[in-house]
Amino acid sequence: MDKRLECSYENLSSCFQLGSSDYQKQFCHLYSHRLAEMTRLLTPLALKKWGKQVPIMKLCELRGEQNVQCIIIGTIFKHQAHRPSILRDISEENQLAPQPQRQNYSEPGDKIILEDELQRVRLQGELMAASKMATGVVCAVKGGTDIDGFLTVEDVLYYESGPQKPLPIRQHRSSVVLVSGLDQMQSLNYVDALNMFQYWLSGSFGNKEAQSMVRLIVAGNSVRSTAQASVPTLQVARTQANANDTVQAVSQLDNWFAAWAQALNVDLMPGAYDPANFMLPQQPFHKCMFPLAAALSSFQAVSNPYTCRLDGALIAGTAGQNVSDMLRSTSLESSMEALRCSLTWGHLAPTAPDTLACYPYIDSDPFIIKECPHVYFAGNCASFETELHVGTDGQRTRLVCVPSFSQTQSVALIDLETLDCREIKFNVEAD
Amino acid sequence: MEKRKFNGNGTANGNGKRPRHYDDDDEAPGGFEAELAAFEPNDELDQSQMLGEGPENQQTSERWSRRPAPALNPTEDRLIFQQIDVENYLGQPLPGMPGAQLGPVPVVRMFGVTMEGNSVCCHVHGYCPYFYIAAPHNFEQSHCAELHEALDKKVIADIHNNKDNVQEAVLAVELVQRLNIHGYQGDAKQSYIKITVTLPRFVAAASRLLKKEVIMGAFDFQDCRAFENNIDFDIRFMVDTSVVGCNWIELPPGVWRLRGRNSKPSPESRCQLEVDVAYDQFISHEPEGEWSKVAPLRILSFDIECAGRRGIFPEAKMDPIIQIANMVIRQGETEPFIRNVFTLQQCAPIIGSQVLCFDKETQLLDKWAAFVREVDPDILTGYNINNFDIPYLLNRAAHLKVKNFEYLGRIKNIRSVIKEQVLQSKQMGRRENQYVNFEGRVPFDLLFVLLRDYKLRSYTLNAVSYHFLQEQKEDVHHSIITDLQNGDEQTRRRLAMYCLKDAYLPLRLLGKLMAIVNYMEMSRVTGVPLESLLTRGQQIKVLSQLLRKAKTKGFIMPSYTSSGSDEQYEGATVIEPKRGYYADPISTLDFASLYPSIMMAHNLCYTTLLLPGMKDKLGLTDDQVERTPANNSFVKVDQRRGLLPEILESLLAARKRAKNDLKVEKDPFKRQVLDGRQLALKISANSVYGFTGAQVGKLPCLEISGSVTAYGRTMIEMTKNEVETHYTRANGYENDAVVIYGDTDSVMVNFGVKTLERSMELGREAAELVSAKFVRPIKLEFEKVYYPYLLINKKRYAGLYFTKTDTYDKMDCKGIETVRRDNSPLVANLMNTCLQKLLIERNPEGAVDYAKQVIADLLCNRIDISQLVITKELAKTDYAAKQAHVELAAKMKKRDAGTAPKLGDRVPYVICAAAKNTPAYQKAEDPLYVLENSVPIDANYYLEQQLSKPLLRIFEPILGDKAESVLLKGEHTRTRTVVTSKVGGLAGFMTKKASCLGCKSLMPKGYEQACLCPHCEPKMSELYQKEVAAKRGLEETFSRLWTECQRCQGSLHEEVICSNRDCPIFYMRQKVRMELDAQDQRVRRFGLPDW
Repeated sequence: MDKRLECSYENLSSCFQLGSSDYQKQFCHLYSHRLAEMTRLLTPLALKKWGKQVPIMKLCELRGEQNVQCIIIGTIFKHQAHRPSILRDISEENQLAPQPQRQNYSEPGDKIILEDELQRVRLQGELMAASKMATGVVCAVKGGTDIDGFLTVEDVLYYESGPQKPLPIRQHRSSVVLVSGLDQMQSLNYVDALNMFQYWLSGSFGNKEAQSMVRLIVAGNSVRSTAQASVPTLQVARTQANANDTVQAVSQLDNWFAAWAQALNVDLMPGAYDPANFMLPQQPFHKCMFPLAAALSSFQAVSNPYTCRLDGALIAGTAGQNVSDMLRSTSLESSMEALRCSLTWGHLAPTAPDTLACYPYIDSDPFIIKECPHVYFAGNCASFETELHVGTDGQRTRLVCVPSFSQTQSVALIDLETLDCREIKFNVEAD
Repeated sequence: MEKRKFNGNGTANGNGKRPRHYDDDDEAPGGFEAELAAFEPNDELDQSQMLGEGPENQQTSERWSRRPAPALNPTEDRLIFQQIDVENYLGQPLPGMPGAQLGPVPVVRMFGVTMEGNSVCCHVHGYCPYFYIAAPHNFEQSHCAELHEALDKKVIADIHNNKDNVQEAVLAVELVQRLNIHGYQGDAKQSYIKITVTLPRFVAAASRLLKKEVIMGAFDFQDCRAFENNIDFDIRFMVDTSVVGCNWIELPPGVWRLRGRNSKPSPESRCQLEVDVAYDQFISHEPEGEWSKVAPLRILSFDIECAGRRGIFPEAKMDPIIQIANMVIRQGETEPFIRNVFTLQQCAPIIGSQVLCFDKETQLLDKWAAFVREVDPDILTGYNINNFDIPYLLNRAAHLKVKNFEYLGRIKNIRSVIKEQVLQSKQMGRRENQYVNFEGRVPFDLLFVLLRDYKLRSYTLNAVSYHFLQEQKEDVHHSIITDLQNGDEQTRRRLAMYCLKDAYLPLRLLGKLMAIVNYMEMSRVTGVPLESLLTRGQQIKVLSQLLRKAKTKGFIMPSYTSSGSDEQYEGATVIEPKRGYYADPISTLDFASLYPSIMMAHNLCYTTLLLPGMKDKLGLTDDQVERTPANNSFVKVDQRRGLLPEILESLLAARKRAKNDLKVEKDPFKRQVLDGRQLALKISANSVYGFTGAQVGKLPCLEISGSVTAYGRTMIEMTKNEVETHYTRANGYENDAVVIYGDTDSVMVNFGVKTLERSMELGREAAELVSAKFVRPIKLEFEKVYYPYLLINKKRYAGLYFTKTDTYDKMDCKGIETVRRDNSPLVANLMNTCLQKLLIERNPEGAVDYAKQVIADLLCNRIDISQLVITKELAKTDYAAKQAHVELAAKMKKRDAGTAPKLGDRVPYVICAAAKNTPAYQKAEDPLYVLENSVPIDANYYLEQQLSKPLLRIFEPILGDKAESVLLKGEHTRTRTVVTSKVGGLAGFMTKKASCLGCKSLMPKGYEQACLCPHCEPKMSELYQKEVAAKRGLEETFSRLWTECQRCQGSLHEEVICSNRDCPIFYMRQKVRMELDAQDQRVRRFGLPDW
């Protein structure tokens, strides 16, 4: 095996690790903190963009006056009639005809509401198309109240993920490999592709780029990529007997990871359907699950979301729950569009905690993107998509929708200097 | 303030309808604030303009006030209005009007609204009360004058304290020819003395004096029966002038007088138009065609909040009213045009609603009363306003001595006062209510409507709005209300939002249930005023119709004094059910409107009843008389057409018309009206039978009601025989038909065929075949097929209901534990699911397995506690027998007097495990306390007292005798989880020792800090994954529950403070918190993932 490049690496995910936990708390603290933090970040930007003529106000200061031009900073709440509701699910009335799970519950009738610390107001205006908005986004809007009690939005400002550190100039080429959705439960169907992937990683095909590949990030759903069938009973939560096959799949994965970690550094993130906790941030897998791989210093389990600085490039990403949840509640057309929105809104998971489960933080919101990443990815997407996003201040971010390996047998390879990105396919039949 | 002071028990008989399933409204929770904001704007209100005291109407806001009335000229213009209230008062005679010319005289007041939305008060003059007595033998026209004078003197002398200075009591005495309604006596009329008096109260006085005293030496009136002396004056008036409830009144030009600023008499009301007319000069339109329209009535819905003291239900003498929210809508419109909230102390603004802040409570109350007078609503509504909000407001205002507050009605000088009212009704049982008069405004309490028309598990506004709108309502505990009030303007705003929602919900519910429209139609059909529909029973409706009919035919009604006899007549028949689970289609044949048709077919009426001996006396032949199966005789239709059959005929004909109109009508609002009308007609037709059978009624006649049920019985029997003799193999049919069950008006037939098509075909054929044998209009109809059908017992069955062959209409369950409130939701849900599996999935094994699974879950403590909660109202504390909820309330009071349930509250509890032989009433415990302290549930109680009977009932037809052993004694009942309580018993003596997460064994020495014992250590990965998986499920539940509450309360940044125990997720969200914390600790014992 060729000698691999040594690169600087720093794991920046400590904010996603829960030292202690307290489930007596409610979600309002997370929203409050998000709003406070975003207000702090947005205020100077709003002044810069709109000047001092238009005052930044609180809704409660409006006192019902009309046609006052003002800037309001608040959290978006999207009122959706068909949002999944646990109340409706357990309603006696509906027991006869259970509501089918909707893949998408965005509707033309959805309403956009802005909520500041104390009050709410309905928004209107083209910039506020409900179909492209999500609950939990914090933004500054400029506009005026009209006689119907609406706030007509003339302009809107998002945080856009903050400043970006320049990429260092380097002598070597380095790249990172992103893979997701290994779905070990189904792997019989594409075990050849997995083998090829392994050869490719180790450079056995004589592929020169193998030398520059410094890190592999496994972005979730390695064990399984679909939900376990649940037994309907009177209870909401029922302890699911942990199927033996999951345990088996985990130990098979351990073998793969141990092999790959021989070639390069491997970071393993949990995903939506993996045997990990459910709420974001998902905590790293326990060492006991991967005894072979864990013996190697080049292997580590990390949290989801995951942020690190690799060879000077800031890499951030998730196993894809943020994107898929946004797609469910909006009419955004693709994972790429959702990923771009998330970056623009300056938040890794705006729909958490509303429709995306997340830990009830009380004094922080770790999902706010304060420093603009060079690579921003989401795992377990239907197909590979990529785009180089250029922010208002010239920030360049490589957006990557990492395809699910179980479906496409492909991975993403990103050059950390040029931020070029391409899909590498291991589809045996196609070749 | 949550109102707990009502008797929230379900109605006594099965009259309650299960409401239709309503579609999800697009108004979802959480959006309420934005919803308010989205309403049209309010006028800016200059508060200084509201100043100015006194009960004169103030015009402060264009939005509040009604549009000015047009200038009318009584000699040229006509005035047309829809009256909504009819009442009478004593006034002075108006020159030029008929009737007594010496005061005081009764004057009828009609209140209403014109199509343009102007309010009208119409004084109707000259109508006088009267009654009849049978004329003694030889009493001639010439004796009338003497009787007049004598009786007049007696009555005047009888007045205790003649402060009104009554000089004339008896106005007229005439000899008239009438027929007694009760019993057929041929067509020859008899002589009756009609006595017209000046004041309504003299009717009773005069008839009493006639009975008791010697009035005329020559005649003895003591044995003369009095007729119609027990009829309300208002009803009497409405009958004689053909006014029906809520109909349109037209005053043609030239007959009416307009009261103005300088007129005599001067205006007395707050209405925009006040007029006088003689009782025989106005036109009362029948509510048909054009006159079925509805005026734009103003409906005010309001809700008050009180700042109570900890642990005590608010008392008007002590606790201030801090907010009053109001919503005013025009009938026919979808959104309220006035939305405001009156608050004590400053409150932050609410976009879309007007916030009126006051420093003093007296000011708040004063301005609110002025607001009511200015808005001039026709209908007052809200939730439990009759028994809580209105009396509280009046008592509080009286306590604070707010001047003129109590002038809330439409008559300037009449105070609204609280009266106790007892309503005894077969439909509702006995209820004590408070009643407040609002001359001209109709109090229309939504709670009363629901209690009357719907059978629900719970009648709190939360439960009701969840039931009909699928919306939960945030419920703020009363102790928090005071805290919110004492906070800042933002916390008071939060309270105001809550209060506004409570005012808005009743309007939405009224709209959804079409209550106003339906009740208005009912009042038009039956002829009684709108208000009496909610405050009185069924009888007055039939009485009003009977009087109207009798009058046109010259009949008069004897007054009947209830003898309280217990005479019983045999009820409806039930064909003994052949119990079982029928997998084949069962056709159901129904008699359409059975009791009304019997009465029509056999001419059953007061006027056709032959009293014993009358047949011979009148010389009637056998074929002129019909003998009923109950051995009563009635004359046939060619002798005399009965009044009741005529009433029924017109009701059913009107219903048919309304149904036909409904088919072609496109306009949704008119459709509502028509649908309400046909429903009202159906209910009215059915109540006629009840009227004749009501022993404490105005005119019970058991000969009629007994004959009706007797006919019903024979018809059911006859149908059974016809079907079973005709549909036989011998006659070429597939199988011998068997009637498996029959009840009142339906017969279930098993034709022994396998397909829906064939069973429907035979059903239709049989219905026609049998119908031909009955007297018109009795008709047997084929309506539905049950397929499959589970027949448990009399009045207990379930089946999948088909009216067409492709899909079923619904699952129909009768008499099965699904709504009873003294059951836990577990029972209802389990029964429901089992029935679904039996009937829809046709999977009896699946149903049995499911029931076993639930029993196993119950025994292993896996059932969510909200499923086990039983709720009872704390009506009084001194029950004779000890009751669980009362004991618990006392126990909770000792723990924390502030949050303990108070009188009138509903007490939720669960039954907990206790030492053997502990009586059940000591085992009740607060569900929250149970959750927080892991108190073990008494699973056996739930299994034996709650689940076993209903379960055995539905499974016995399937499993037979072994049902009990299969369901209640099987393998699945052997595993039980014993929960260790944190309180009581041995809890204090226990010490916790670490055990292995794998095998639960006690940790060996040296391993105390580890998670697994040496034996289990190799399986660490597997065991860890198991714990994580458990946590995973809890995390999902936690997120879904708490975000739901966040949305429901309509705010992301504020803490959820709702304590709505009716909400199905209330206990779940508490439980999941604790379980998640506990599970998190287990996962943490494996150590943090450390890389």
